[in-house]
Amino acid sequence: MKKLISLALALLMVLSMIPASAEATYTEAPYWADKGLPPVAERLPLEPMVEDAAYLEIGTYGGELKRAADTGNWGNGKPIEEGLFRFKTDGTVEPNVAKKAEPNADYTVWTIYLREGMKWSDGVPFTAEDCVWFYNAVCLNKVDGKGVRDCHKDAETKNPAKVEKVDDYTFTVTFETPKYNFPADLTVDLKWHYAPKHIFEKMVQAVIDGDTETALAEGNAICGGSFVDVGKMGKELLYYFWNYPGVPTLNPYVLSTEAGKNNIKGEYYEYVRNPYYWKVDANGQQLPYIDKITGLTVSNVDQQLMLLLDGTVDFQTVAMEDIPTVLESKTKINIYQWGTTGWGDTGSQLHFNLNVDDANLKALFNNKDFRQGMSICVDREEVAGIYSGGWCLPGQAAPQIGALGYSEEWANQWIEYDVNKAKTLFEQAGLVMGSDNFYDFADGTDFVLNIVSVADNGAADTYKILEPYFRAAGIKCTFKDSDRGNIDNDLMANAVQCMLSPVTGIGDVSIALKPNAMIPGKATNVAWYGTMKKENATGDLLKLIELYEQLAKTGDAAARQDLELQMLKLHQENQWTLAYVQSDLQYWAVNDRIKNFPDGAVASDIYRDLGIAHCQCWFIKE
Amino acid sequence: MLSYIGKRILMFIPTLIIISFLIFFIIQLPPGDYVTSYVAAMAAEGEIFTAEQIADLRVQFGLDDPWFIQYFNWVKGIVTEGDFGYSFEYGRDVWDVIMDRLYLTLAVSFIILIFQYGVSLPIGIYCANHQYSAGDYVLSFFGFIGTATPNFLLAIIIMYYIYVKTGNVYLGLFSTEMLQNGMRWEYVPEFLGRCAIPLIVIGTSGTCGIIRTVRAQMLDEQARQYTLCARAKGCSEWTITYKYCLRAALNPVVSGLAGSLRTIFSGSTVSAIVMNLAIQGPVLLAALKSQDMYLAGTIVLIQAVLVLVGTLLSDIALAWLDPRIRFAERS
Repeated sequence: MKKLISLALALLMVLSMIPASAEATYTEAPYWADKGLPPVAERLPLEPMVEDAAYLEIGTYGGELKRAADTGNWGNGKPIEEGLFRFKTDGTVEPNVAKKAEPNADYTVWTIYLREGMKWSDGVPFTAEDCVWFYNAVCLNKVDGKGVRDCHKDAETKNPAKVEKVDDYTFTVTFETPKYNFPADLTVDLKWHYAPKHIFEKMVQAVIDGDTETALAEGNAICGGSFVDVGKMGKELLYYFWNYPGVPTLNPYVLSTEAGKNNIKGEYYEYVRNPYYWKVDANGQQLPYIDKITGLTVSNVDQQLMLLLDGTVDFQTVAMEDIPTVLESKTKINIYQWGTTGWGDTGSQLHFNLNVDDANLKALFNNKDFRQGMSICVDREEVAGIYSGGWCLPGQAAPQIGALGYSEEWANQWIEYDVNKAKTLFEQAGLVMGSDNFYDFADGTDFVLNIVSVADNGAADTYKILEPYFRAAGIKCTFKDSDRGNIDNDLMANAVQCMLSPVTGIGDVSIALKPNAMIPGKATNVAWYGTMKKENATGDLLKLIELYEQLAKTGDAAARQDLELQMLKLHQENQWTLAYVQSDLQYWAVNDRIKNFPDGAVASDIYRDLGIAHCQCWFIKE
Repeated sequence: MLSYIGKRILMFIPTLIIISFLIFFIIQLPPGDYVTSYVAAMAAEGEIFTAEQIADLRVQFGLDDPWFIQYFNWVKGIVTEGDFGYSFEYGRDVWDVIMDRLYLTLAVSFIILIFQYGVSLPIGIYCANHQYSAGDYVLSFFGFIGTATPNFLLAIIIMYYIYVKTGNVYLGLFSTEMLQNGMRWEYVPEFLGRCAIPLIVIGTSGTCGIIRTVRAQMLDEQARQYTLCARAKGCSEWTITYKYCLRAALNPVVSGLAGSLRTIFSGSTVSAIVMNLAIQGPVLLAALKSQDMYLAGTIVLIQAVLVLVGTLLSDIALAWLDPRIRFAERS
C-alpha cells in the first residue's frame, strides 16, 4: 500500500512539473502540412490568446477572403492590425499582444508583460527588446515619421517617457507625473509599440547616423523596394509596415513575397496567413481560419459594389440606397448593421469657425442666440426627407443613443421649426434687418455667411436644401466647394468662415480618447474651432480645454467619467456645431459564405473600424 | 530633307523648355501641394497629423522651396543625370513608376490603334465606292456610335449588359485567376473577351473621324481627272482605288497619326478608370489630383515630346507617301 501511495505521489509530482501549455492540444491549418515548419505548439506562445467571444462559432480552415479597394494602406492595415492592447465594442481596453499591464502605486511607471514564446511571422522570437528598441531608436529619433506620440508624453511637462527593458518579456514605461490611462491612450495613439529589431536595426542606425546610402540600401533590401528618400522609406517600412513584403509582423496575415502578389499599388496582391500567429480558438485551433486575403485594386466604390454583386468580392460597406440592389443580386449577400459615432450626419453638419479673423463674424458665431436661430430656422422634417430619402430622422449634433452623454433633451435641442423665433434670436445676437430683407451687422455692413465644403461629398446638394430656409430667415449665404486639399489648406490658414459637411465632422466614440473633433487645438482640420488653441480660447471654450487637461491628470475612473460628462455638458449648453439630420448606420454587405462577421458593432477609428470584426476568426462555409 | 529634319529637331529644344516650364507652372497653380493632398487622404482613413509633422513632410519632399527652384532642380536632374525626380506617392523614381505600366499601355493602345485603322479604312473605302447605298448608311451608323456616345457611358452600358446576361462583371483585362496564376492557355478565351470591351469602347471612339475623312477624300480623288484618265486607259477599279485614290486620300489620315503617339503612351484615361484598366492614363490623373508633381510633370512632358516627334514623323511619312510634297520640298 505504501509503495502504491509513493508511486501515486511520484506520478502526481511528474504531472505537476509539465508546463500548463503542454496540456493544451493545438491544431493547425492543413495549409501548413508539409511546409517544413516546427510543430504548431512550438510556434505558438506558451499562453496563446484565445478568441472566444460569445458570438463566435468554431470555424473550419481554408479558402480565401476576397476584397477590392481603391487604396491599400489603412484599408488593409486596420482589419489585421495587432496592438499591444485593443478596444472592445463596450469601450474598454483588453490585453492583446501584451499579456497585461500594471501601473505602480502613483501611476508613474507602467509595467508591460508580453507573452512568452511569441514569435514574429518569420519565426524569430518577439521580445521586450523589440518594444524598447522601437521606442528608443525609432520613435525618439522620428525614424517612422511620427516620433513620440501623445501617449508617451508626460501629462504635465510633455517630456517623453522612458522605456526600459526588465527582462525578455517585460518592459516599463516611466513618466515624471502620473499617467493614469496609459493602455487606452497607447491603443489610440500608437497601437503597436514594436518593430522587428532583427530586421530594421541596421537601417534605423544608418538613418540616425545620417548615412543615407546605407539606410536606403538596407531598407530596399528588406522589402525589395526602390526608395530614394530616407524619410519616406522610414515611414513606409516602420509605420505602414503591413504594406511591404519581407517585413515580419505579428498580424494574422502578412503580405505575400511572391512577385505579382506583393505590391499593394499593383492590380492584385495577397496577404497570406502568418505561420506563427499567436491566437487560437476555443478548441485550440491556431487562427486565422482563412488561408489568405486577396486584394484587387479598383478605381472607385461603384466598382467594388459591382464586384460584390458578381461574387468576385466578399464584403463591402454599402450605402442605404444600394441595399435593395445588393439583396436582389444573384449572389447571396447578408447585410450587417454597425453603429456610427458622429453627432448627427456629417453631411448635414454646419460648423461656424469660432476663431474666425473677422471681428464681426467672430462675435456673431460665438453668440449662442445666432447659432440657435440658425438651427431652428430649418424645417428638419422636410430636410431629412429630402436629404436621405426618408432613411434618416431629423436630429441635432449630439451623442447617439447608448453613447456617453446622450440625453433626449440634447438630441432634440433646438430642432423645432420656428422662423419668427429665429429672427428674434438673430436680432438679439446683434443683427439688424436691412432694406433688402437680409440681416446686416449693427454697424451697417453686410452680413454674408460664406459656406465652404469639400467637392464630391454631397454638400452642394445639402446646401441646395438648406439655403432656401436660411434665405427665408434673412440670412444671405454663399457656397463654394473645392478640393479637399485646398480646404485643408484654408483650415490651417484659418481662412474658413463656415463649413457644411466638414472635413472632420464632430463626434466620436469618446471625447476623452479621441478628442480631435471636440476639443479645440487637438487637430488641424476641424472647422468649428479652426486654429483656436488654449492661448486664444475664452469662456466655455477655455473651460473645455482645461477640463480636458484635467482629465489627463485624473486617475479615478468615476472622476474621469465625471470630467467627460462635464465636457459634454459644455457642448450641450453651447451647441457649437449644428446638425440637421441624425447619423445613418454603417451597412456591411457580406457574402453569405463568410461566417463569424459580427452584427451590431460600432464603426470607429479608435476601434480600428473593420479591425473590431476580428477577421482572423472569420471562416468560409460554402 | 536631312537638313530639314535637323532643323526640326533643333527646334525641339526651346519648345520643350517652354512646355516643361508651362507644365510645372500649371501643376503648381492649384492651392496646396502634395502634402495637403496626402494629409487629407490619410485623415480620411483616420490618421491625424500635427502641424509639426506636416511641416516636416514639406521639408522632406522639398516643397518648402519656391516653385521655380523646384522646377530648376527637376530640369537639372533630367538634363544632367536623366533623373526625372521621384514620385511622392509611390516613393520611387518616376521612371520606374512609368515603366510599371508602360508595356501594357503600349500593347492595349497598339491593339486599339490597329483596330481603329483596320476597321475604318475598309469602311471608308467601301462607303466611298458605294455612296448613298444601304451599306454606306448602315456602316456609317455603326461608325458614328463610338463618337456619338461618351466612351465611359458606352463602357457602363456594355458592362451592365454583360452582367445582366452572364452574372459576371468584366472589370479590367485580367480575371482574379489570371492575376493569381499568371497567363495560361486556358485563360486566353476569357482574356480576349475582356479585351473586346475596351477595344469596342475606346476603338470606336476614333473610327468615325477616320471613316468620314477617308470617305470624303476618296470621293474627292475619284472625281479628279487622273482617275478619269486611268479609268479611260483601262486600269482596273482595284488599281484605281488602292494604287491611286487611296494613296492620295491617306494624307490627312497620316497627319493625324501625330496625335496617336501621345495616346499610345498614356492610353484613354476616363474609359480606363471606368473599365479599371491598369494603364498609364489613370496614373496621370491620380498624380494630377494628388499634386504628385514630378510624376505628373514627367508624364505630360513625355506626351509633349511624343507630339513633337509624331508631328515630325507625320511630315516625313507624308513626304514619302505623296510625291507632290517631295517635289514641292525640292523646288
